[in-house]
Amino acid sequence: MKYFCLGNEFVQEDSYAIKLCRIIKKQNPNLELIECQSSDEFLQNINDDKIIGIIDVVRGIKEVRIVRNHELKKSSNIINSHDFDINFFMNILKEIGIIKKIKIIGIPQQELQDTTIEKVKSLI
Amino acid sequence: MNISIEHIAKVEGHGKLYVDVVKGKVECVQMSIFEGARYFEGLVKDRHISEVPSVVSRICGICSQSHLLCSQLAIENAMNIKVTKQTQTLRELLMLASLMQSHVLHLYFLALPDYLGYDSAMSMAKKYKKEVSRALKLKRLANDIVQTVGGREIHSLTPVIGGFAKLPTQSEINELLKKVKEHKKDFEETAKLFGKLKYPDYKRETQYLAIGNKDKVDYLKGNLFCGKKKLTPKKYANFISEDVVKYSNTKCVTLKDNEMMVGALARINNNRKLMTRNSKIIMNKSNIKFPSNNPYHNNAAQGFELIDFYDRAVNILKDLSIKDEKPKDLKTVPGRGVSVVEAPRGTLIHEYEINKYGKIKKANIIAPTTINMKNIEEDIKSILPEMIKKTKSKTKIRDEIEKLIRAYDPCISCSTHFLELIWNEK
Repeated sequence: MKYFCLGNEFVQEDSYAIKLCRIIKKQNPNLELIECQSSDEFLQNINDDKIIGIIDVVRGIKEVRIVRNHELKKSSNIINSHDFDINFFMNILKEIGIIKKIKIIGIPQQELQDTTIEKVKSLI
Repeated sequence: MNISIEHIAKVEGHGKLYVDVVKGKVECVQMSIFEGARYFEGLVKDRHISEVPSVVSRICGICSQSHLLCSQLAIENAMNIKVTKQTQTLRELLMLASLMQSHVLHLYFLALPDYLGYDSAMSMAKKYKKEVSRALKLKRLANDIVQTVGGREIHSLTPVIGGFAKLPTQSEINELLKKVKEHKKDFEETAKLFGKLKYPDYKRETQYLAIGNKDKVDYLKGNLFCGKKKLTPKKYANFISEDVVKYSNTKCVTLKDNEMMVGALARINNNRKLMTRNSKIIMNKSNIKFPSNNPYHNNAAQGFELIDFYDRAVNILKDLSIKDEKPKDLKTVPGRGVSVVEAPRGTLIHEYEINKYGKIKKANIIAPTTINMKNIEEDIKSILPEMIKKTKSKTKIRDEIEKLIRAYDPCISCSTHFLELIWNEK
């Protein structure tokens, strides 16, 4: 199963999933962890994957946990061409049946700790 | 009667529409963009020319390549830099991919729900899986081209003043050709789909402005044409006026004091004879006849243009034999440079005055959405009395106005889903 690690390595508060991806990949090179900065990269890496995983920073959580779909801010209605974000694409891919299930692993918006890394590894 | 649409929003901003109707007669239509000024022309002042293209490309994430290339071309014109044939070709390919991406996103995810009677692409997706899948495939293809030529999908890195900092390899180009050719049917299906949609029956005469050339459609160079009248880009200030209006943060752009339209419809109205054979065949088989004075046909025109982009991209990729070359040296001389390109939404103008240190003294950027603004106002003024006769429903009137605005694919277009209609009837 592919896991997309979202974020921007140059923006500290948005960089933790990318950093975490690199650490875990070093320890487990066989895991399919893909660094992803934009919805375009996300789309480019989805092939016939019916179930995909997302690892991203979630503001407001204190520990690593699975984020359920209903907890996400709805972005079903795009307002303009700049609103084609990952959430929109995930939902539209589900609507047309390309993806069946998305597992989202949320990590806290704070410096990475060993416990965070271990918890993510156990959820993958 | 007083109709206020309180929130239109620019792409990353906000706008509203105010309409004043007295006894069924539309007295006033004002498209007010109250988005804070972007200050890009000020931001580049005193900056070295080498920094400017990547700064101005941030004006828009959708047409960043248009701003990037237009800026580089204007600076090269000022410095009298002549680029190689390979640079011109790669730039054209990058531009075509950027046009493809923008048209596909707008057509499938913003315009199509309007014509199929859905409030959003998401609500349309279940029933129109094939169309949505096709859009995603085409978006991905366009991204692949931009990534290969420009170094990344948005805000390309490799095009620089004088050439390319990094060239794609020949094997990447060959691979790309294979990929592009696999999508021929998707482009054709798109053009056919948008050629057969039922567009509102409305027309109004206006001026159509686009780059024109004798022998081929060009998106990056050439003179401007308004119908048959040739206008030299360097002297754009002699025929294009930019006036400050009290009600909007965007200027009112006119051609000889009259409104004009730019974009796909203007390009096809002016240059359709020079389009590729394949695109002309599909265009001629549709029910839409060009030249057309129906602004809704802009969406059909975007569909037909996609075939033209496909054919041109294939031809470029077939002939491209990558030679190792470095960008031209940047020797700074004081001067003034103007460039016009055909961005997805229409003619884009960049002008720079550069001092002897290679720093910007003055910059002026006229984006296509600004040019179309006055034409949109005039269309609304002309179409509204008929709309009011047909319905008293505020929601229907708002939806129809939104649909008209969205047909232009302006940077504010999409945001019209957000419109709030306030209706005061006296």
